[in-house]
Amino acid sequence: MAELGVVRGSFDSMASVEAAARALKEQGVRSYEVYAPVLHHASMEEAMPRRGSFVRFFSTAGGLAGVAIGLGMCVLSSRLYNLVTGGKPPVSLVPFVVVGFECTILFACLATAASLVYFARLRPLAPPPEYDPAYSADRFGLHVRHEAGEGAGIAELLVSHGALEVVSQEAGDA
Amino acid sequence: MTEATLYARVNEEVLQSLDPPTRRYWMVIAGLAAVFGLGVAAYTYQLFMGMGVAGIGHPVGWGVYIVNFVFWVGIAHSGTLISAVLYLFRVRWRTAIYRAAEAMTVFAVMTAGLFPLIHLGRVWVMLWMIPIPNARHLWPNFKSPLMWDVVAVSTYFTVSSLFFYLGLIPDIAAVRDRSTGIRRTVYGILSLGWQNRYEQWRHYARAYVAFACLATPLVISVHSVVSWDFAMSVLPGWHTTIFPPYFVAGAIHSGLAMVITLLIPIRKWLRLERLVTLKHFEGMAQMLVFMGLIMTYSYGTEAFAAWYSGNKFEHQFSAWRAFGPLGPLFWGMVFCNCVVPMVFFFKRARTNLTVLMVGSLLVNVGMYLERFVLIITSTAHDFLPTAWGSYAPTIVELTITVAAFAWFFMLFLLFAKHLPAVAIMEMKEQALGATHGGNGHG
Repeated sequence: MAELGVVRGSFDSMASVEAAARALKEQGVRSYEVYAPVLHHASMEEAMPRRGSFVRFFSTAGGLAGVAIGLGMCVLSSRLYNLVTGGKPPVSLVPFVVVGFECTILFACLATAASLVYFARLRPLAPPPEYDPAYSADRFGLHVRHEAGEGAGIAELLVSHGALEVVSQEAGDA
Repeated sequence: MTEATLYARVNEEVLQSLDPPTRRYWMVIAGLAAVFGLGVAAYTYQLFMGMGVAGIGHPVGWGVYIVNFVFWVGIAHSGTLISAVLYLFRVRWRTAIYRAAEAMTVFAVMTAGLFPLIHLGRVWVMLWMIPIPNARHLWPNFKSPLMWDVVAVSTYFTVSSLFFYLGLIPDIAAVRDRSTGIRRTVYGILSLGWQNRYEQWRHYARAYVAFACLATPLVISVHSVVSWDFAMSVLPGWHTTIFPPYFVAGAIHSGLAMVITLLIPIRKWLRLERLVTLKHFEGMAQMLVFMGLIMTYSYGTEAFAAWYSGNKFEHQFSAWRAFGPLGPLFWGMVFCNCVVPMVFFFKRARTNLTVLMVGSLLVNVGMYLERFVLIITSTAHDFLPTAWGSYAPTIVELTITVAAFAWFFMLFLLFAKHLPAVAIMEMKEQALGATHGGNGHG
């Protein structure tokens, strides 16, 4: 795969970075990333190449696994210690529902956390050099990867949508 | 004011609270650690001498250790209420206070979790509560409410810790980006390389909502399960169907009071007055009134059922609880939990920090008394007059109890000075929403 250049634009509002991202999408650009100090507005998702998340699928799957694990743990351990206790038969589903419920929540949350770590690529490492610390304070960023020769047009687009600063790096630049 | 200026100001105001602590701060931490150390010494003494050094025995087998457990689990609950339940209902005033409330939840559950272990005596047998293959072929009895409690409280601790940490990740990244040296490395590891990318936010938003939705039924179930430790028995005063909602209400009542108690001094000390305003305290005081009314209704219903049911055991027990030797504790509980919160019907009281502090402290005292009265009296005065007895905590139990408070406050102070006590990202959203009509988190 050919090496790509990158244009980095810095903005001071969510609206302008969203408008710039929307314009990129309309032009058919597919490789760009928005950086924001706050959670994006719902409308931002329409301006991005990818939207939605599989995290909820994993929450549901974790919950279903949890109820099976919780009930299974109760049934198996009571079968292994097959005595009537508290006047209840060894396998009593009513009290096991409590454990099943708690395990549903527990495993749903563990699956949610694990899927977030996986999909958001959370690793205990330093951010890459292109990350600007101002993105966690008061600046929005739009980083666009492009083929050779497209950098100038993209930089112009970012400026026209209110970018305060634009840095271009062509493929092969240090 | 532009969006960027607004964000910069919120960033600055929260992050200034993480400036290097003073010597006085470390002296307070050292003092609390010393009190906690005394508790460890008292527990070690109990471990070597046996449970005889505690005041529990016959007929009162559950003493202040279990009182402390129920009290601290209760304190934990309003943290989840504020962070998850109020989040789902889009209550705006939660934003400035939910981080501190979540921290309180985690530390309170950590404190609560110590007490069943302390109460066990031979603490190493705690392994018997874990369903792992063993040479004795003994397995936990999942039909017992006590085992439900083990599962529920450990689930609650895991979920509330994860929820707390999840909310912290973007804010720790903000601290990392302003730090240097070893602090930058530590915060860098804790922030899990968070870069504020859309690709991260879109998954984060879904995960946060999922956690809030899962934590909401969990918080209700956990205190219901704690109440079943008592309600599933046949003892007068314990065997009642009102216990689960009554315990949940009591938990929220005590937790809200503790949040107010913690936030008033923290807000001043960390100079967060512009972010945590009187409006936030007013919201909590209004909830305290609401919960106080529910508590009053619950106490009234309990007494009415004991009287009108005609059950002589319930009737004699209720009368003894109110007018016996522990009567002053009962009436103290009624005063602190039912009468004191009514002060906050008045706006002047809700917006006066001194009144709020005194009121919240009294509710804390009242809720501790409630746990004491509820747990001790039923076992001390059940069916047979020949089995009646009394209970007074020993110096060992009291030392461990005081040490638990020191441990909790020490953890909270360490948190307040080393992690953002106010949610930076959500405060930015709220500040923007207040000026530009933004749509908020999630």
